[in-house]
Amino acid sequence: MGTGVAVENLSNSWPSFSLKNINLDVAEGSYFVLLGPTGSGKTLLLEAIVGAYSPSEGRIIVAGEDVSHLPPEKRRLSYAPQNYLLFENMTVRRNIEYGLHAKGVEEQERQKRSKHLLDMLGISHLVDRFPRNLSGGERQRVSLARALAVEPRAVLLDEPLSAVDAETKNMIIDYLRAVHTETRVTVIHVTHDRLEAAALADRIGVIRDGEIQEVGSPLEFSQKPYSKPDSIFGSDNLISGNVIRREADLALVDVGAGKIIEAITDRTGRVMLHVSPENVVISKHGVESSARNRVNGTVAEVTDLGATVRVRISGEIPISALITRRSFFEMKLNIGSEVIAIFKATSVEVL
Amino acid sequence: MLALTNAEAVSSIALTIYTSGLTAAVAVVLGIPLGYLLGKYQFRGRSLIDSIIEIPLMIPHTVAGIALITIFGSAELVGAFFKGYGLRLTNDTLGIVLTLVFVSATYSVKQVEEAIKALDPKLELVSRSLGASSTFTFFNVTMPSIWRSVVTGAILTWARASSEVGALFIMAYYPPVASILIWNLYAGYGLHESVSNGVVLSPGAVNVAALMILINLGIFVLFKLVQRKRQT
Repeated sequence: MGTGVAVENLSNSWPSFSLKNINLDVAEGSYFVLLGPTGSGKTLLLEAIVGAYSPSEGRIIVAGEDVSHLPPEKRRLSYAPQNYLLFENMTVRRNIEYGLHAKGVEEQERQKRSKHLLDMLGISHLVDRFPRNLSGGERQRVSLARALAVEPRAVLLDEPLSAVDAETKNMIIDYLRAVHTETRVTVIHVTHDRLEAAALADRIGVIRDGEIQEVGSPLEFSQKPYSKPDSIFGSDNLISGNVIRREADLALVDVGAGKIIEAITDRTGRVMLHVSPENVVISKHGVESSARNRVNGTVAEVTDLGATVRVRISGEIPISALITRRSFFEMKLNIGSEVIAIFKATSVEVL
Repeated sequence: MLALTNAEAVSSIALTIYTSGLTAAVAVVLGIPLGYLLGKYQFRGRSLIDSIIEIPLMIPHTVAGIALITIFGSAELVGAFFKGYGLRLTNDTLGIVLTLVFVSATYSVKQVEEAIKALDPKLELVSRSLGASSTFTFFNVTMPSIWRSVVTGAILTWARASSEVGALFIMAYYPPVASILIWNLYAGYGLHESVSNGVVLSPGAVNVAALMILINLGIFVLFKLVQRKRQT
């Protein structure tokens, strides 16, 4: 049993849904993403952990303590729901200091902690505003600061990025990453978005129909063949690597086996790269072009999607391309054909 | 206006304002926990309690008066018990308030119940996950979210109580509240004031009624102001 959050043999039934024998072990200080489609039971599991209800079977252990029958206020697990649920009658500062007020923390300490979080999350200018005057991204950061202020044993985030636009989403991902790096608080993050999971998680638990189907690191999931039924990243072209060098605006990412992928990012260290299969060009002979990335390999799998064909290439790194049916036949591609997959550095998304 | 200088009229209007106010206060004290319970939890017997609360809206108020007097009348079970302690539950201020609570507290309970139903149940969960007790959560998160409904319920209860006549005729005819006085004046002296040899026999049912209309209009304006604030 670790010192993080553990769920042991948890089961609970509702008239039309059940959580079935859930077992999870979230290491202290780790970022765990619970990934599943709508209706898979991920939010119900999160609610059991925070203490919204007592499951009929099983235990929830936090830092070695069985909290299964403790009320939410005794568990020290901060919950940040999908729609933020800021306290509308309170200013941003009062929202962030709410839990500290409830615990009777001295004003000086409250202000110290809220100032630190306000600075960390870039919301110092919002302290005197009320939630109704905040944008989605601002509300999300206030919600996160409020959850962190009480220095919980874990933060439980329910679909934190589902209600923000794409640009804000990337900003919040950066904040989540930075906050986790600085605080090393244990995070359990629920989402249905695979790329979000890949971008943030140390480990991912896949939940479907109320059951945990698999737990692993993003790298482990990204290396599974997409045809396997338990594959979650399948044809998403998720590639794990390390930024080893920078040349002007380009980052050179070592993705293993001596292969370097070029991307545009200012990130350093471990990164997860994503290339949409639509942005991968297949060539048999390797034409000269401005594209910075080339991967040699052979056609391993072909899936007919009607107007398009998905081609899985096995080689230096596994990669999928989505090409038209006409191109596929004109190029006379077969399983085992030697090809070069080409994509631009600008089409590489750094998660 | 004669009604303003007539002691009987002033006294009955004051009694109406006082008993209706007391009724609204009792309704708030009962309505918050009851409305919270009905709005938040699903439990066996919930529908029965909900129906009992709504009954006063469904039955003629003279019937409500009969029902109350068969329980609280001085010769009846509960009434006799209180009489033993020197408390009259009929024809007394206490009887008026008891009757008014029965026929009008429903508005307070239902307002709170609907407000609680409209609140996201996770709001309280967030608060408690931050370390706040359920009591701290109630007073700092729940109440600030529903207070306008509580005020609206109190105003509606007050307005309904101040207009009650049917049940009071049977349960607490005396001392007369304004609605009963208006009826008495109308039945005894007609619509207008009646003075004989310098003695005021009636300040005029229409005059007392006009005063009550002004007072209730004031309450109605207050209700609308609260409603407007609720929408913003």
